[in-house]
Amino acid sequence: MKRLPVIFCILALAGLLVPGCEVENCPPNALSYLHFSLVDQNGRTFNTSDTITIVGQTTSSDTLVSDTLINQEAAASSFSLPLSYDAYTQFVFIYHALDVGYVGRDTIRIDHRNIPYFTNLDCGSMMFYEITGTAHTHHRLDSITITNPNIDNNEKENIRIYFTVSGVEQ
Amino acid sequence: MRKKISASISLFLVLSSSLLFLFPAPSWAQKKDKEQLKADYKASPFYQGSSIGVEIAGIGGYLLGGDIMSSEILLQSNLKNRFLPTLEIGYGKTDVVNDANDMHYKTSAPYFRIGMDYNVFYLKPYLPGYLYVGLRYGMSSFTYDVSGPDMTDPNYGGTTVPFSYSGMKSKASWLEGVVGIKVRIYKRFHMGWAVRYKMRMSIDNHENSVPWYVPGFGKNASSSFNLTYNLIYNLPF
Repeated sequence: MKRLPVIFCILALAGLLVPGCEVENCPPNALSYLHFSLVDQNGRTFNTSDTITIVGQTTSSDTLVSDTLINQEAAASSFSLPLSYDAYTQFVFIYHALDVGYVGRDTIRIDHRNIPYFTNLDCGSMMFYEITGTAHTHHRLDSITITNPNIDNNEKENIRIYFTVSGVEQ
Repeated sequence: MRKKISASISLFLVLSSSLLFLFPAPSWAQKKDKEQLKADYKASPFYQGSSIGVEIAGIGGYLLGGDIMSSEILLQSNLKNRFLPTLEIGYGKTDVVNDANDMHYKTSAPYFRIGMDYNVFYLKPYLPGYLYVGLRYGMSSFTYDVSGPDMTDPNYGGTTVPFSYSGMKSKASWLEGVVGIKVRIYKRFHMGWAVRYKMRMSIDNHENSVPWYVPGFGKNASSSFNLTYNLIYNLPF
């Protein structure tokens, strides 16, 4: 019985403080990006020797919209690129070698379903995506595979781009 | 300001009920020796009555300008003054717009909880109240609407996408741990407060949203705390 006042004081204090503990859990990253990984023919990540410029394109109201997303990045092994709110987004990869300059380009087209998403009243809405199809050219890259078609604000690989790299042990 | 008023009222309610328990009237403080208390407990009837109560903290918070209204009726039986099986039937609603981003969320639905309290002071019926711990299983089935401003493509220019989803159905279930006190204030009338730790067990999400508020659980998270304040009447049977 002697400890009763202490117990009740602790409970009263806890009860008083509890309503003040509310926190809103907004995600740290409210934007979703398509994550590309660059891999060699054996599936191992490598850093490209070319510098790469990437232009994102989409068609909005019958108008082609272009935006340079990556400008002459060297030794890249992955890219995180935004998709559009339209039905597809295509990325033009422009390669430059240090010694000879422009060496070619590839285009990767991503067809996607757009998924507007709500998590929290304080955090607003976000756009998530589902990849529904891909197409690409073969000038420098070999092939691409979809490793995860769902694009959200978690940073995880969605597409793997295979290049043939000379001097790699098979 | 509203939060301060709400906190002050919570403080008053918590302290008033606690003080009644801490400083009982002298007639309540008749102590008996342990053996006598145990003998009295063994001789006591199994069924010792039922009570009905209403939770008022949720209504109070809403009347003071809160975004969420929640209240419940509780039915409780007293078995050996030790085990208290409890049924709680409540109703929760919210219809709120965030002024900062114009996001709108609306839901209203009943909820149910079933569980049992354990009277820690079951050997001391001479006290004016008791401290209890308890467990609850809660569930709610509800629909919700969420809408907001059109979404504009931030990277590729002007495309806008409307954001409005109505009538989305969801179900949620959760477990609650309860610690509280109950004290007599006048004859059969009692009051008490409890702190509840809620642990979400399941919830149905939608492709375009997760519920923001779950009736009976509160704001959607893996766990939450809240405070309830009950006015209780001990039924004469």
